[in-house]
Amino acid sequence: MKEKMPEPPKWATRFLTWYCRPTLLEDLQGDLNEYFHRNVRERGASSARLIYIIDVLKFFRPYIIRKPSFSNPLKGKITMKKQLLFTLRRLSRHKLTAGINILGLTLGILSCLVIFLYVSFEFSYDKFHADAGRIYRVIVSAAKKNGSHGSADMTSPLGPDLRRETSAFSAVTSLHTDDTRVLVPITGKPARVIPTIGDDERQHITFADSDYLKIFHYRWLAGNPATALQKPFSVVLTESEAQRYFQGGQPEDWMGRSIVYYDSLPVAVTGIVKDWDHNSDLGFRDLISYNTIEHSFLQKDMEGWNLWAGNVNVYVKLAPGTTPAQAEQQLPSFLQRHIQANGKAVLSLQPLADIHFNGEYADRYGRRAHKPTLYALTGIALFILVIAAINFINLSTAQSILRAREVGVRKVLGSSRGSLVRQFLNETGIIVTSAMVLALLLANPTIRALHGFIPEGVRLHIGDVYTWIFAGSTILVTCLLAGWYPARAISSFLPVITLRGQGVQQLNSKSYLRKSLIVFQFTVSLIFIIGTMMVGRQIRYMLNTDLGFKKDAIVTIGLPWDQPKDRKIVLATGIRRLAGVQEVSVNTGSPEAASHGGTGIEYNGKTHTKIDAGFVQIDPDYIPLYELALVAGRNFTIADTARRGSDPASGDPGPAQTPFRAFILNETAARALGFNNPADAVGQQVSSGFSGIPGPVVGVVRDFHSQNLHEKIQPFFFTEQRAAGGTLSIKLSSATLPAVQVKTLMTELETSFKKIYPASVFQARFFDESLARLYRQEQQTAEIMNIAMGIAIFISCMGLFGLAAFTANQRTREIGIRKVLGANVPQLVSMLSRQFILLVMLSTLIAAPIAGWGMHMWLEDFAYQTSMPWWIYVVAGAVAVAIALVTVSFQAIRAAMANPVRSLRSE
Amino acid sequence: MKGTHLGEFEELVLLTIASLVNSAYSVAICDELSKHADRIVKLGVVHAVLHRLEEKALIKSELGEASATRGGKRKRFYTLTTAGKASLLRSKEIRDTLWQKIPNLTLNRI
Repeated sequence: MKEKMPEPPKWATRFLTWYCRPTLLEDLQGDLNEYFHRNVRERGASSARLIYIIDVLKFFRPYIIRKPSFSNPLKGKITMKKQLLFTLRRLSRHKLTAGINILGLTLGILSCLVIFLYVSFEFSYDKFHADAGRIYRVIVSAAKKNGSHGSADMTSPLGPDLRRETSAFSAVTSLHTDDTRVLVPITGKPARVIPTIGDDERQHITFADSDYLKIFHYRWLAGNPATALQKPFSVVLTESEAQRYFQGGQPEDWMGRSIVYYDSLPVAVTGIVKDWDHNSDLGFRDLISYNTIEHSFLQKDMEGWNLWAGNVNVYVKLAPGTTPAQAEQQLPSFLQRHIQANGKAVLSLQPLADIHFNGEYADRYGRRAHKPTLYALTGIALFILVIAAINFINLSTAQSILRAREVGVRKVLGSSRGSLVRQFLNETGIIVTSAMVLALLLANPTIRALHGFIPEGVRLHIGDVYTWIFAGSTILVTCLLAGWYPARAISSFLPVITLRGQGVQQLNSKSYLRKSLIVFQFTVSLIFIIGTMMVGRQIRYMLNTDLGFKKDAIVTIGLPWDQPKDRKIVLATGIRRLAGVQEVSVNTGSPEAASHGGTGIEYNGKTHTKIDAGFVQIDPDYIPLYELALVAGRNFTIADTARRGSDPASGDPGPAQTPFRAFILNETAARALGFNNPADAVGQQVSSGFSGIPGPVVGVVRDFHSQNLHEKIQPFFFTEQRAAGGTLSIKLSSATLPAVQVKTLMTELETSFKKIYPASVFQARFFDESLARLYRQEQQTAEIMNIAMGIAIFISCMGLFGLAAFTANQRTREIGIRKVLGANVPQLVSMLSRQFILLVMLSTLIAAPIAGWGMHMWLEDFAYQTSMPWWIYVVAGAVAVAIALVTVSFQAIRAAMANPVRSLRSE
Repeated sequence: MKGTHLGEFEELVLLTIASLVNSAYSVAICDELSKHADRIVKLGVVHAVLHRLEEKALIKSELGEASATRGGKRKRFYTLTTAGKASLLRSKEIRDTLWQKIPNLTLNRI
């Protein structure tokens, strides 16, 4: 051979091999080869190749293509139908086991499903925006001694100035969010009134400019995104909001209609957009053009660079190719130009994806999710599923004794081990699938039942691809988890032994696995039990610990900020006259709600001392009302106000401008300013960071918890300013007023409130309830723990119950003989349950250090923690043993009580 | 079923198989047909027809020996079944009968 023979193209051959029926392949391939070689001779290699390829493609015909063959797991010695029949027969013969397995797996899968839906819901927030990776929110952090304090509050000129003076952003928008009453004028009729939502965390109205629309995109039903927010007095509504306002009609009809905000700010509709159908924290439905502010009465409320306002947020979109680090480099000098001598404040950028999960930066429209909770939930769900799978493993291996003969016969008749494994996995698959179907049916009712805990909007959408991917993979994983070991174990029986009837012994010696799985189940349950007890203990501790102020029988009412200030006094005076009211105080917040917004207090003694301190502005009635204890000096008096010459209640200067004339410190603040004895502080001149004008310290109060118990007690001061308050605290005459009287009183409070503020929402809260709200996160943890504990214990006990029932059943004859020979019921019961109880005790020993360590980590987060006494473990262990004992002995007693004649009669 | 009815091309293929006796495999059939029928016969068409004929049980096949030109693949040899023979004979009979009916006179005139 001079040269190598040319070959037909490999890929074409491979393609042919792939699609061609195996029976036809050889012949066809041979033919093509023969033609190829002939063509090489006659027309040359390259055209031969081409012809070969064309032929391969031409043979792609129905009669040549192989039938699609999926690797069918049900193919084996037994057909699908028979298989199903066998399984159903077996399930109906062992109803208890089947019930336990299906119920357990349903609970396990249901937990996983609900938590999957919840977690994926939370992680879906604000993922859908175009260029979401380039969208950031501007945040400010103030460096303080004890860590930094961050906030998303901005000043109103910051956004516009940022756009003018920096180059890193392709769009900058400043939002002024709000929640106000809306009037919709209707020709010939009185205007339709849309009330405020009344929830300060779900504002849906914002002022925004065209840049907002460049950052966040909408589908426009009417109007032009380029011009809609350009002119003052324009508003863009989402479709649902327009429906709510105008009640019917088409987007075109709504254009140009007038809406009145703040009772006196008429604007015209210049655009209608479709509501986002994805989850977003920016759920604004009314976008009012930003320059409306400067053209209207709202301008007078703008505080310039002095006020970092909670309702002002700035969003930016980075210019393409700019990194956030590059953009942040421009921020220090920018800030320096606008606020002097405050090197402490630093501007930075918060990624859009972080907003939903970062609780540090509060705003007035979004909801925050707590990532660690989500991760913990996922873990808990998996544990519950594993516990359910363990039930399945234990019950199946226990029952395999009954199947030993069946397996023996099958093997003798020629079944391979693989096909037996497959058969058993199919059975598992049928059970798991039915559990999945049940779980899918129960998912939505469960979510509804947990509505206090799971946010609105989480739902099972049966059409969602991810739901099916989740369902499919869960079935697969659960099948393998629960079915793999039993399948291997059962199919490993040797027919010689099982058919001779010795399978039972062979199996009983192998129950170490079962025992350790029971130990695992109860260890997990016990960890949950201990966790529940400890979380509950800490919550009780936090709610019952002496906070240093009174908390029962106090009602707080939120007052509107935008009304003349003397009305507060009128309202307070009116309420004081009501029957059942003991004391009334106007203030900026209750003692636990200390704002630590970077205020400080200075003392010019021997040395100049300046400390960070929280504060509340109060009136003379506050300290007696909350029963704060004065350790030195005196309370404020009316005279402290009067000394100002003019009552600030009549004027209208903001808190930033009015000097504080008198101070009351807490002990920590007094110490921090250098007064070892609180009495030394009284009479000294101090000044606050706001005005710098000094005033005397008139008293010192005993330390109280001005923040929740996660935090150590911080320096704190009260200052007298009667009319600054936005809160009215009312102390009832007794903590044990009858419910009827409380109800009448509440109605009276509302009437008095409405008389003075007819347009505002009346929001009254019992102070102890709002205190409890401080620990919402912990209450939620407790709730999760409770539910998880319940489910875990329930499933574990079901497994134990099934096993006990099975053991008792297997040993019926033995029990009969023992009884005949003189054993009594307690002996038999202890014989049957001893093993299980020992396992549960062992679990306690394993669970105690794990739970102890976990709870220790959790408690680290609190500055004031409850103790973790040793008896917690004992109680938890005792509870678990008791539950297990009840579960097991039910079966044991039944078996022991049975008449031996029955069990021994038949052979 | 289309039954024993033979299409024109099917009949040609059957005849070729019969004439090639023991060496009737796809490529040979193809070549033979091209030679005698004086038309280009595509391999794909022949394959399809062979497949159909085998389905109708007019021919049967078995694998023969491998050869180097075929890249080590075996040939599939086709032979007529009794049914195949019968249907060939039948279609010949029909034709013969019809031929005999034509008077020479008529044929010449055309």
